[in-house]
Amino acid sequence: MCALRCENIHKIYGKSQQATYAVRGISAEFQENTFYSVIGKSGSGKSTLIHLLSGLLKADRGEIFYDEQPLSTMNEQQLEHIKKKTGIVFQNYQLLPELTVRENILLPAVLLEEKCDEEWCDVILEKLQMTDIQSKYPDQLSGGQQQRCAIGRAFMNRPKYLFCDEPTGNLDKKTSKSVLNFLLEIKQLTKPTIILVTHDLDIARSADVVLHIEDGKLVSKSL
Amino acid sequence: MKYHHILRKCFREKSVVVAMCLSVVLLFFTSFLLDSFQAQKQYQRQMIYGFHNGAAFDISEREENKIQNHLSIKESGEMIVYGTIIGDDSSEIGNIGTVDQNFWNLEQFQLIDGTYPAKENEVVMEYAMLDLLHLPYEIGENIDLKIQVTDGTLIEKSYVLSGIIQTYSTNWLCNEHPLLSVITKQCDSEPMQRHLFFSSAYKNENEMKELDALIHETNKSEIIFNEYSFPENIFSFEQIVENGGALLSVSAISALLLICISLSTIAKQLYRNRVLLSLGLNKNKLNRLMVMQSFQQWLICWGCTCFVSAVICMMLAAFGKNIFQFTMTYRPFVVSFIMTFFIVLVMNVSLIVLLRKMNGITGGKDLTRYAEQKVKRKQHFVFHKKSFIDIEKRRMRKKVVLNRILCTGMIGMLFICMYNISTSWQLYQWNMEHLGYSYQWSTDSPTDGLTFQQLNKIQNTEGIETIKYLSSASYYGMNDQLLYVQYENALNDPYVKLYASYKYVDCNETTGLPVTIVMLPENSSIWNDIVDVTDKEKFYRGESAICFFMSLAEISDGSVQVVDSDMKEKITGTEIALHDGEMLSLKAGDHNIQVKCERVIDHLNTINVDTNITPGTIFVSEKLYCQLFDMDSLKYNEVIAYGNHHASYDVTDKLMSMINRNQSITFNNHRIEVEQMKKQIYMKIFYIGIVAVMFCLIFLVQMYQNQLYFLRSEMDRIHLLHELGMNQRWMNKMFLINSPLFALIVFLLVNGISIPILWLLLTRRTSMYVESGLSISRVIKYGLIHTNLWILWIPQVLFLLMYFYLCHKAKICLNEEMKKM
Repeated sequence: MCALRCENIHKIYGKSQQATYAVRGISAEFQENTFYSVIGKSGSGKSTLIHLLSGLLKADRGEIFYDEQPLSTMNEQQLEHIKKKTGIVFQNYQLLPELTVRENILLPAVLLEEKCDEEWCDVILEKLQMTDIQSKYPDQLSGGQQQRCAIGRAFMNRPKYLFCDEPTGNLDKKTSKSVLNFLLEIKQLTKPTIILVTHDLDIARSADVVLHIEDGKLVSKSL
Repeated sequence: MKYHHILRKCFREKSVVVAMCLSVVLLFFTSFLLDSFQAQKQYQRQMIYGFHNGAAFDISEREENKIQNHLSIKESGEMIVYGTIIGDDSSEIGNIGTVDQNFWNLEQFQLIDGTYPAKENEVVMEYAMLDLLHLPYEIGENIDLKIQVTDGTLIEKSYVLSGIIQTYSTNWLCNEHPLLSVITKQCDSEPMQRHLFFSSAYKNENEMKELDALIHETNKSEIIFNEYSFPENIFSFEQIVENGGALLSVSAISALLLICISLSTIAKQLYRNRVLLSLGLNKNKLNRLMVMQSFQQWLICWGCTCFVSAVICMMLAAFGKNIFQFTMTYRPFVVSFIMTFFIVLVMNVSLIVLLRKMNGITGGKDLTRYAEQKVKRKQHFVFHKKSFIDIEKRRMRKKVVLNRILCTGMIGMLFICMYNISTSWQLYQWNMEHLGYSYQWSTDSPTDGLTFQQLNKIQNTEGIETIKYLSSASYYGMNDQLLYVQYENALNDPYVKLYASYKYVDCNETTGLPVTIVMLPENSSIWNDIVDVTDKEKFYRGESAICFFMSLAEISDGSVQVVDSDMKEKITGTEIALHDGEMLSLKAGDHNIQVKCERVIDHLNTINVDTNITPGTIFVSEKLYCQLFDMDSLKYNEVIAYGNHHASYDVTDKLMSMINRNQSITFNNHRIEVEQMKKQIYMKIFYIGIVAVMFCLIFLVQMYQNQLYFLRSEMDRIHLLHELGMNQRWMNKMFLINSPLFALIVFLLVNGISIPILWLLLTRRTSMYVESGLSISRVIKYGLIHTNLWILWIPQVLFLLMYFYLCHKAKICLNEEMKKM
């Protein structure tokens, strides 16, 4: 069943002569409980695509549908509902340095005024093997640990959609592998639709579907 | 909410909290110290002049009761004079008498040593009296005093010295009424005079007028308010300017500090906001959270800091008097609470507004994107002037802007602080130079003043170095009555601003002009200029006068008021047509004397005539002066005696205060004024100096940090700039424009604009020193007197040098990086 769909979406940065076309008319469908990876060269528009799909950026043209409902027509409440079902992992982790690992993971639930499921948080920490370091601060962690923490945070609200923007971009091969394993392992618990942007082919191959982007266009889709 | 602490931690900004605490503390202590300075000044005055603020002299017992029962009288004490103490040279040196218990409570007498007299034969004595009577400083010692009692009998009596009090009587301007220098428990003889000293509530003018009228109802009594004892009017213009200005500048600095620190956290806060938005928080909620959290944070921080500051201030106020010998008050707490509350409120609101606007805007990526586009389009980028400006705009990062704000703020603050110090210092120097440790007697009347004997006595007093005296007529208009003239203490040139008149004959018309008539003593330095050209003997016989006239062109509006007509007419022209040998008609009251103008002097170094009012000065001999004003012997109506710096001031003060007992002659003890001024200026330098140094350090640290942050980001982008074609020369140019040149421009602008404005304001305010309505050139000329440029500029230049050094260090780092490419 189609969980997320985009139709002919465009994104342009800058104006007139200085305009840069980041995404040019991409259309794609994303099925439930499926792992998608998006690959392409630097500047090909991968990150912009994932930001558009996750609602962090607004498309200049085209439409994005969540459960067949267009994103642009959603009101605040509906958007909030979508956000609750969305998890995002960034390349540079984007953890808050003032909060501990546990607090960072709990943050999405706190922000959305959900009842914090501490037990679920414990499960995530255990899966991520971070129970022992849950009271540490981000600057006391390695890059891999920080990214694991960021993944844990993304899973806190049991997301239906998980967007990962080059989650292994700052990590070495070995750590990347382990982070990916954690991602796959934790995926089994909530079964979300994962859209992962990467330029690492090995990681891309772990996905169920691989989308290839060039110059802001979707050039191929392989299973 | 159970997880509220997580949100609180998200929005906590330690540096802002620290800056907020620092600002609150600074403001709190500033207002506290400023008010304490006032209290200290008042305390000093009270120490010197006593705690009561009025006295009725020579009153009867019935009158005393009447005054004592008046509503406005808070406390009162009685003093009864029984006799006069006669010194070794048979001169009167003080008085003896008794005071009641209430008088002791008024704390007029500061007991230096010993105890108050408890027995009939015990006395306490002013410190100066000990010296005058050549008595040793020994409590319990037997002393013999020669006392002249009310009926004129001279008796000798033995007393035991029980204590020493501060010499207070010299501070009271009550020449005709004796004050006690020796106080005993009881006297048997007839009282000479009875005085009532009191402190009044001074609630309003009417009540004081009523009290004044009540005292004047009595026959001989009179009220004398000791001006120094009155609590200073805290709403006077000078007070508001001085204290309010200081408080406002500190508030402005605190606000600036808060804004700068807050700005420096913007990047972090924007990052936090972006993360929170990406985690599903909508913008409305985020803004609400920002407002709630930051307000909660500053409210707690503000409250706690205020509380702690208040407690510390209260402790200082409680113990300050004993520990620091400094009177502190806790009066300004309300001001501090309000000021700090508003500053913190404004800062928070502006920060939130700014953050709301900035959400989603990145700082440094602009240049990167710009460069990327250029590279992508494979455009050849030539680094020229236009592109330099283009790049420079994109380099205008927050840190650079912040550094510029800090630099401007610091130079501005240094200017305000140093201007304050330098002006006060200059005024103090001016007072030291012109008044110094001096005593002055002055009266407006040409027929009144000190006698030659009194002059001699002053000159022969130990501790007096030089004496200047003058007899001058000060009246305006030939047919007018004698008018009061403001004498302006400018006795370095005593021939200033005293007015008389003479007949001005022009085109067969006789006109009266205001002039100054000065008795020229034989030993006057003016003779050095004119002795060769004047018949001195003829002058001293009273047959001629020496005249000095200004050219009318030099007079501000080029005209002089005619005094013989209806006082509205003015004469204009370039020169007053009076020549050697012509006859002058001098008129004073009923006396009209024709005298020959011996000499018209073009210029005298020693003369500065007030060009606004009198066009000339006429010097006459003693004989002519006495003749003109119908006097048997000359009186010196302007006398100033300069004290020796090594003198015992207690004794000198005492002796000088006893020279004259004529009420119409004003006696001023400038030494006390200058001493007070000195204490105040040192306190000011100490306090403002500490504030300035503290802020310099804080600002420099902040600027250095900014510079470092900026440098780091520059390092990342320097390769990019290099690719764009920037070389070392351009890099250096950029640095020069970014920091040192900017700082230099700010320095020049702040000083260039502020100095003339402040001088103009100051000159208007202190019309005591300079005439009002001056032209700009005159403002600058006179303004230079008012400020010490060394004090004003050296700290600013030092700050600039330190800042340049920081910039230079940064430049070297970047150059090295550039060389590696």
